[in-house]
Amino acid sequence: MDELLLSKLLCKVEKPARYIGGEWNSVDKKDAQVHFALCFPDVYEIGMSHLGSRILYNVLNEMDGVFCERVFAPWTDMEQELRSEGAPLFSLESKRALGDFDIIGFSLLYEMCYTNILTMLDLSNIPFYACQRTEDMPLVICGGPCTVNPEPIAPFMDAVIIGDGEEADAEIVKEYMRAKREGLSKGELLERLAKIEGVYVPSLKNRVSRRILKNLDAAPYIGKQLVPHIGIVHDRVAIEVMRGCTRGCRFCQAGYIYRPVRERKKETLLRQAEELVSCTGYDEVSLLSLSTGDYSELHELLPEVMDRMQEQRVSIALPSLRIDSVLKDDLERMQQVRKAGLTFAPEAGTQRLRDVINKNVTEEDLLRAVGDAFEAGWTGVKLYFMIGLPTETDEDVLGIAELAKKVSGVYYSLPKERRQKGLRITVSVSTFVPKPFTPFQWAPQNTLEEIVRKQQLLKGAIKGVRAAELHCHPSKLSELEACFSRGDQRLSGVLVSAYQKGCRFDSWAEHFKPDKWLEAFEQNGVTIEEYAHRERPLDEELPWAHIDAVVTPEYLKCEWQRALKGVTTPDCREGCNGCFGKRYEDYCRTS
Amino acid sequence: MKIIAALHKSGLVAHTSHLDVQRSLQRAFRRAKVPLAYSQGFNPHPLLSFATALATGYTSDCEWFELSLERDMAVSEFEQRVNGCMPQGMWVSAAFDSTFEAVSLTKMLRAARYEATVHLDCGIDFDMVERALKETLEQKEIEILKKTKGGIKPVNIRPQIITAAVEKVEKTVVRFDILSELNAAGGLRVEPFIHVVFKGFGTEPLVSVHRAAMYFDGCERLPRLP
Repeated sequence: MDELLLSKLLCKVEKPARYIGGEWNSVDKKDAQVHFALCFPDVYEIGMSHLGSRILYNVLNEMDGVFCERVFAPWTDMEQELRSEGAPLFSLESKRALGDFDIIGFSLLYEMCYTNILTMLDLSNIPFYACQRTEDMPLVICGGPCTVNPEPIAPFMDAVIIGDGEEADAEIVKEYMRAKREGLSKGELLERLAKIEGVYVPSLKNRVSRRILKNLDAAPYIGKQLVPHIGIVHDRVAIEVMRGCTRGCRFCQAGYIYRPVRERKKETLLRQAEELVSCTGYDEVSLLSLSTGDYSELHELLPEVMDRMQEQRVSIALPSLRIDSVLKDDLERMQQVRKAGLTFAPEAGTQRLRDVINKNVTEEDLLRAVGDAFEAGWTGVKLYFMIGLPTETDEDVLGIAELAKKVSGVYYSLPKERRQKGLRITVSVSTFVPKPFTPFQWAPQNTLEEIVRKQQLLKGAIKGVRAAELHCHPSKLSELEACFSRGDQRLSGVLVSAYQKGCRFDSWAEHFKPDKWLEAFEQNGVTIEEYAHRERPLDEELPWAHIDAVVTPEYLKCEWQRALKGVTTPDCREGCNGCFGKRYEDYCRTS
Repeated sequence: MKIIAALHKSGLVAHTSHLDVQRSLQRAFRRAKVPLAYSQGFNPHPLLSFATALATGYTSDCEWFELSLERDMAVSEFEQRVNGCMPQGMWVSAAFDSTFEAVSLTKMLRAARYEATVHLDCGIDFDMVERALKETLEQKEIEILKKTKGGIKPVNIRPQIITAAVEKVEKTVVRFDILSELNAAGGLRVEPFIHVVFKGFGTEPLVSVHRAAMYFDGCERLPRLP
């Protein structure tokens, strides 16, 4: 892009540093044979925080002849400026137009980013539908957790990676390079891509099984983490302690689609923490995973990493601790460096409902944990819940307020000299969204009216709880999430209609246009009702049935029935529950 | 020990804010293993302070800052190590040991010199620009609108301008050289001033501003007003 034009654009937009590139550790390569655009369909601050993109950026740029550059969704002001200048969307590294790349790869983490994919393609004059793109246009692919059900976006994609991406992505690029050398057509290339484990080619409708990275400890990590110029959402060194979770919470898609659990060795993590702190200059390290409290060497890792980091004034963040992990000592140690907020996720208000969702956490666990935290000096506690879970009654909803009341009670029952002043309990309530490849994939989502009624009920009940504050997530958005997470290919038309009606950045309250979405559904002859609120019979062929996510459908059915009976399933670290069926030997090595 | 140094900022990184620059610099110091001294208290932060902030979008040769270190290190080594760890478009262009300087940079700051480059849609005559500038400067008050917390308010910027001259005109590009007051109370916003100059031509052109020098009073090692 022309320098003067770029300055002109940058002078007109909010947060111009989103588009400038040149961050410390960003890559520049000359003479690459393959140009890969790593696209994230949301703003810079969010996309730059995504661990998977950091891994892929490193893996792809480590390949000879490949230059991987970043492209984020332009905020609406930049989109307008690009349109009025007739300028294309460009990459951060070399300011190359997105349409001039060989491969465009989107990371899909959230269904409500889908319209931004269309913005990015549209600003590059790339037709939305794969079948409308010609040979000389870039190969458009995607990956990330959303793609376990790729159907709503499948018609836009040449190929889709299902499962862990670090190996599959590199294999796709290798095949692309080989095809280029051999002068193959796009069709011939796609046939080869369909043979890669974990790669789904919508035009070929190939059966595909989820890609699983076997050895996490030996896998390539993020190399040298980029240090952004502006503040981003997760602005710290991120260490991936393990992938997967053994708990088996029935609502949690991540808990199912990242199985089996794979850990990194303590020594590897310590080395990565040291290297990353030294090459970035960050003063905070986050130990990431779905449930870091379950990491088998946590109690050896924590004191060691804290000792080493404390000398360098680096603090440690533990984002996903479970209430039942032995917390007290760790909490006291964490206090020594810096105090972060504490978040607990009981998810449901009563034990009965927690049994239904298999969140095996008891009230005693929670109250003990918050008690420890209050005594260690914490005064701010966040509690996460969902409403609209299968079998939920009003009693369960009111149970959320009851639980908040008990947490408040724990604080005020402590003698004043043993607690700090200023209690704040934030009760955050989201709406349950049934997800594919979970035992709740057949469950109906509560209707909007029902959710609103439950939210009101809870609002009334929580008023009497001292120091508690309630936050409810907008339920109209959750309704759309439910449609797109369990949607089929007809929804690709809805996406295009919604995009044409101006829907962008739908997860941002200031841009969300529920009326336009309703119109888009109507225009395509489908309803939100049939996707979100309908209970799906167990014998119905689900839109994602051609995807093998390795956890067997039989296992999911069995878990759904156990859920309805309120029967819990133990953590699989305690013994195999057989979720992979006969393929246990091939895939799971945890027990 | 304490070090006073000047930061150069140019290229696209000019579009980062003052806060972003402070954070970037702190991280560069940590990468360079500079033994930063930290403040005491609940949330310790490195002892780093700039003479003044630079507006987002401006480039500069001379963002003077002061830094405290826990241990002594040679100034040349400081410069070398830090410059090996800076993001594109940023580097330390001067530095000296300031352990025995008593007054803060902000208190010593007096003025700054700016180069403003104006990009016009069509060519313009040198004399025309010069006349427009002269007429603008002859006014007792040059009013611009300034966004404040209390809303948009008119401000008279004439007293801030010490000298201003048209340096050159090349086809559609005009270059101004401006010397203006700069101190703890603030400084001149250059683009609105240029826009006033061009008001008579019915255009609000794209202006890029470069801070070429900062002038101080009270420390022999810092630049003084010519």
